[in-house]
Amino acid sequence: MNNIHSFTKVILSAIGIFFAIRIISQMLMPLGLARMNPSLESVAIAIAATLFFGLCLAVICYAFVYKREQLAKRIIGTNELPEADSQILWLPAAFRLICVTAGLYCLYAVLWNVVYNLMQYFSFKPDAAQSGYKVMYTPKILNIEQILSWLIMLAIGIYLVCGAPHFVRWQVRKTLKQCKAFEKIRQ
Amino acid sequence: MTKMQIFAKTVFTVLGIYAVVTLYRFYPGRYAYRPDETPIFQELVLLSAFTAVVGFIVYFTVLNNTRLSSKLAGPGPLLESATQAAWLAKSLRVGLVFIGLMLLPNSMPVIVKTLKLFFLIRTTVNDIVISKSIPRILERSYREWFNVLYDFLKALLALYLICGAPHFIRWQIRHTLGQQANKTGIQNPSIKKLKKEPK
Repeated sequence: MNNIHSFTKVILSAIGIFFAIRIISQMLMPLGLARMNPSLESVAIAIAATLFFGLCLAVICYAFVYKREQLAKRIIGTNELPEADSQILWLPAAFRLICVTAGLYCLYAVLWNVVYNLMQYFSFKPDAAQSGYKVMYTPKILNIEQILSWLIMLAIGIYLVCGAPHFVRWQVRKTLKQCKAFEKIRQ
Repeated sequence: MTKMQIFAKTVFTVLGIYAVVTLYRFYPGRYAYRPDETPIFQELVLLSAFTAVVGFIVYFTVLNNTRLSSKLAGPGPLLESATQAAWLAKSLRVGLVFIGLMLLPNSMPVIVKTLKLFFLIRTTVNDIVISKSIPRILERSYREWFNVLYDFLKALLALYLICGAPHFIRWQIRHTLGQQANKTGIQNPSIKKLKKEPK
């Protein structure tokens, strides 16, 4: 176990706790929205959304807090690395960590947007007397731009959570190139 | 500079950028209850005052954060000038890419809308030429235009930061090393050469 592993473990725990807090704070929101218009559909969606949030919470706590050592090993590689005196060693690890964090944030944003919009749609589902709501909320749900942006965000989120290998390689290469350029100038 | 000072500098830069984005997001003029009744002069004064406060924050957290970071990090073993530049470049890049990636989810709808605009340009120009009236897509109040501009600039900033913000990092290194040279009284000619990165 070296410094990079310890640092990665701490960061992973922090990421897990951060997202757990965010999910817990918004877990009961669907139920609150369902209370505004307690139809069968809205209650069913609210319960499903709350259960889904709970499942996400469990997965995040399991992966980022309980199994953080294994995750750190997967991100850094072997734990028999030499101490990180060389500046190059920590760079891919740092980029991979920020990619995983940003990926989780992306997935969280997609989840939040989808659940929020669906809940709004079903909570304000129009009846004969409330046709105005249909006009107000339908375009937001069926907007092709919004659905497209959710899909792109979902794809980016999954790619980033997987460690974004191409992006990390590209960033490391560019960073080292920039540093070499500085060194050349200074010599 | 020490390693911790460089780390603190990166944290200040990231927090400064995040503060600017968040402050303009909650700018009171964006969400006025009765927007049509606010005089334009009052709006301009409010925007100028707000921008001055944001500018102050940017100056001390992003542009000139060496003193703050050295106070925060405290003393430690000093790095050589070349090592310092390398550490600064790497840590700033990691920090800036991070903040860029965090800004991306909220900017995605704007990026998609901007891409969609390319398909709408022809129709919009046709509408203007044929009917000689402003198309509906351009009929917005100045408050809505402010929101559009904010979202667009935020998306641009996110993309620039994800690309690693090379110009900003170059400028920041030149600025920091220049400040140190002034402090110690040793003029380093290589700092001027950092203005343009060689191929």
